[in-house]
Amino acid sequence: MGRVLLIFIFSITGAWAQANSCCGQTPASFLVLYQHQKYTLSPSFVYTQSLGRVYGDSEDFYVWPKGKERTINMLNLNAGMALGESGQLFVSTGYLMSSYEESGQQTSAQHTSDTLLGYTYEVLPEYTYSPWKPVVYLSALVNVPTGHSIYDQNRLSEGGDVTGHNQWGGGFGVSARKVLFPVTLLVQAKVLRLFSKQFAQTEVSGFYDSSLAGFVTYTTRLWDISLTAGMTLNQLSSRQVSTIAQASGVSRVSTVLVSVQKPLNDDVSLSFAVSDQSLIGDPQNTLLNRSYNLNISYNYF
Amino acid sequence: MKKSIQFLLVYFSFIVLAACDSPRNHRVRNADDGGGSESELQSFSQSQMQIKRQWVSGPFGNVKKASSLMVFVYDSSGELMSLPTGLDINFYATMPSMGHALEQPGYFTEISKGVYLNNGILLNMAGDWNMELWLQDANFEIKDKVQWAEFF
Repeated sequence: MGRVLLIFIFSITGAWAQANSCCGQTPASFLVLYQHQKYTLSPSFVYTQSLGRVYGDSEDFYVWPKGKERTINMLNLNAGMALGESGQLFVSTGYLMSSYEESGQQTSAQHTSDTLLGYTYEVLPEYTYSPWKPVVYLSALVNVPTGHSIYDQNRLSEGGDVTGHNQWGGGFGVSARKVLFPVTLLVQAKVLRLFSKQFAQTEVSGFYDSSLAGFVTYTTRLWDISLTAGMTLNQLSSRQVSTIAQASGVSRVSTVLVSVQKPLNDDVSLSFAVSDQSLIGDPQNTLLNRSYNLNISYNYF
Repeated sequence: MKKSIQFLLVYFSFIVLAACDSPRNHRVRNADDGGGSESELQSFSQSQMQIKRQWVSGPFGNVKKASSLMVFVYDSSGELMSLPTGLDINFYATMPSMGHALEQPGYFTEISKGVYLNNGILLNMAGDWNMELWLQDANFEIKDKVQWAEFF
């Protein structure tokens, strides 16, 4: 059962860290299959509520008053498949139903998120046990512009209908995992270069979407439940927009996450995660959100 | 079970320590939006005209709630004047820190001599905005402009 638990832990990390801030961000964490997994299908339901906003030039966190509400219900799908001994492919996409309410007026919108495609290669396998050497994976990432950008025509305030960058992007990611049973450590870093794009009314320059995520999981003996705690740091570099003389500021947010996982049988696992962006760090130019994530993960060996 | 509790204690201790620089330590409650008072006189850089402006309603950081801006145009002697033939006044705003423009600039109509009202300004969100008033000719070329920063 221990092996099954570990497999589930790695399969669902990609589903947890869904940064969904105005104005677009790709997930901070992405799917990495564990050895012997052939396929993984990991759908999630994520409920996100915005707490307030921070701007670029001060530390002030403007908490939204009662009656001003931005909520997003997201159906997210992570899927992965092994390619030979060391390779794997994954895809991460979602569908967002957004709602914005202020002064009793409610508006809503629906759109797909950006889609993240990746090819991962296990560059540093663990053939024999080492007390310190992690298993390391390198990933090539492609951002497919299937989302709705802040530079598209928007119908909701506060970037309520923004579901991604809607720009092609390419980059790489590194994942390092170390099992020191019953504790498991996972660190992921990702850098995506989003390429410039001509939108209907403006041209947006290329920029970087980068993130660093770290998770610690403790596997208990109580009903095979495992507990995970983690942090993610996301940063969007500044962008030059053709209709604005000044480049945009850097957007930055830190997310704290806790999660509980429970394997239902050898193939299926359930997890529940809560994440909050208002607890730590020095965020800039972003909404601060709280999310609740219910995930079910199917694994095929 | 004991180890689980230890694990959670260590994690939350870390969070408490890290939260010394938490956004929650810098919370500000949003003030209500509302109309503003008349601004000081502002001069265009090239033309002799001067303007005052006043938010009749707003500015609202809500894409479904139109803000209204009134502009008073004065000549060099301080008298209200209509814009010269062939020139229009238009509104534009950007959010430099976020890197996007406003959703809809609306348009001005002259409601009395030298008094122009724009009821259709839609701003995407609250925050730091760079507001501009353009004097444009019939080819939409910007002949002159004034700008000001506003936070709401």
